[in-house]
Amino acid sequence: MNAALTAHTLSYSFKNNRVVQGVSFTVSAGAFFVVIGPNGSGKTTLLKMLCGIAKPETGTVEIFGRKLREYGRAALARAVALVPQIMPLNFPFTVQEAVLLGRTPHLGLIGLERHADLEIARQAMEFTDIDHLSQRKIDQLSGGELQRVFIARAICQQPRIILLDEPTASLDLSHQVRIMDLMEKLRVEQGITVVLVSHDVNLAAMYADTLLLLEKGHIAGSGSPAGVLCREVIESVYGCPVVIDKNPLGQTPRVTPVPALSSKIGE
Amino acid sequence: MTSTPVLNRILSASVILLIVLLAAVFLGISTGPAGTGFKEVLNSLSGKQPDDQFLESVIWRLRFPRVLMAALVGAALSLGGLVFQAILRNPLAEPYILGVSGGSAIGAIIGILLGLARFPGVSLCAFIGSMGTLLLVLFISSGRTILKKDSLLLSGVIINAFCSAVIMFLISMAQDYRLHSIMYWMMGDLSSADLSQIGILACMVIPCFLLIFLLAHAMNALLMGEDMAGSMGIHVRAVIAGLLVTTSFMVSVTVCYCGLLGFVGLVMPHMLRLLLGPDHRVLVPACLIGGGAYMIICDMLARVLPRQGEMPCGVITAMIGAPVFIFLLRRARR
Repeated sequence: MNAALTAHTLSYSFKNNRVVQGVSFTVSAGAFFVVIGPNGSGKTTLLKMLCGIAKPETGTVEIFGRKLREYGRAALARAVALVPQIMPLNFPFTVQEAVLLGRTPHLGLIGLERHADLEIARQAMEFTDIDHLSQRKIDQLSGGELQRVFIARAICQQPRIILLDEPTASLDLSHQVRIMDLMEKLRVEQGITVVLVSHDVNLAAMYADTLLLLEKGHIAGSGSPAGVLCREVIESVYGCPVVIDKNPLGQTPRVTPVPALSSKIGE
Repeated sequence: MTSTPVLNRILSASVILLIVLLAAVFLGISTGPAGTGFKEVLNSLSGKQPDDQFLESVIWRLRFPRVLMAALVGAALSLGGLVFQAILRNPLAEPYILGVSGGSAIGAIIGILLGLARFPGVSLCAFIGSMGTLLLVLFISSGRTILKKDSLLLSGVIINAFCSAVIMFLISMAQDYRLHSIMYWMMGDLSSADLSQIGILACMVIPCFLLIFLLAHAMNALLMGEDMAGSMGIHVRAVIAGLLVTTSFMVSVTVCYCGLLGFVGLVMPHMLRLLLGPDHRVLVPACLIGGGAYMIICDMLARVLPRQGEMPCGVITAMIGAPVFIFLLRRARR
């Protein structure tokens, strides 16, 4: 398979602190690639380097065989879209306006959209099931709706790779599954490569075809979920005892942390 | 060229506001302490002989340049507020509140004391002063604390207090005849307007207007956060730096010509945002036109209200703007 994205020995420091150190990996085109790891393991920084927002200290990123640095800003944004973590917004755009902003790398300097752009935005809203909200203000939405607005905005960018930073954080169960299903649908129907950073090991295992496990900026494991999620590795990376068995729905592994209180452990 | 929905919105908002602006201009040149002359204005516009020669010359020689100056200054300061609010993502940001105007004033007074010409010497000093205070505000309020929003305002307050002290210090040390009208100037004053000065001011601020309009779409993207804007192909640092420098320049030359007019950058951007939504491609032209109209009305009130003479225009803008500020502050804390 073709490589959509290749990272060669990426490193990044923040205030003399190496947060990512010599990370190399390849994401195949059309893959569902999930980066997992404990807090502060460098997941977000890695994601930012993959789309050119953070400049790696050493190492290079290749997007479809071309070095990231060789892309112009707009050209890169047409290849790779980012859905950052949700942040509070002071200025109330409507859902449609926010989604339309995704057309930015396709527009001229002043950014005047045409009817074709409106149509692309409408399709993106339909795909993420927010078309009924199009005239609502984005500061009136729930977390799950807002996340879908940001995903629609990224889809509107018509990228070949979409990067997401913790898209399911702080969402309830049904919205978590809904967002992940949406990503799978995007991958299958539109052939977009999905690279996602997640806290949720079990959700990641259910959807990913490849997992990358980070520990303090290093790669602690990569490969299929069944290969990466083994007890010794997870216990050492997360520093807590776990039990690993099979997800009752299928063949993916399931990680259950073991509480320290013995009263919470039944037989 | 096929029409675009945004273009239609820009044009319709601009046309409506232009009508308001023209009405404000008409009102501004017709009224004043020397008498009201709606008929004179209409007569001389239609080429008829005026009934009152004196009033006609007051209208075209005194009031008209002043109204033009007010329109330019109001446009520049409103746009300044709009840009600062977008970049700092703080609805309370405004050139005067941030201390940028105060910094310009220090620079301008130093320039006057050094005996420089208003253009380019004093303007350059004012620009240096405004950039200095802006960098200071950004330095004090930077950092990833929850209090960032408040610390921005707080640092602005402190810098403003410091600037006023420095200005007063300079004035009392200098006792210079060139500073005779300084108290008026400190409260914002449009009475010195003449056509050649307006020409110079226009040449300096109109290119800034155009540059900011070109960056309006990038400002929209920036409202979604710097990371998201960066991932959409916006050169975030260049856009922010470009906007800050352009806006500081625009505000500082305005201060050179008209002194400190407070809170102007708050009223129009917020009113127009409520009416038109947060799209800066619509808001930038709307703020220019609406801000011009607003300032013409404020200046007219400053000329008409006092029993004798006139009051500094900044008195009116502060009396309208400060309550608006308090209202916005309450709302932001909700």
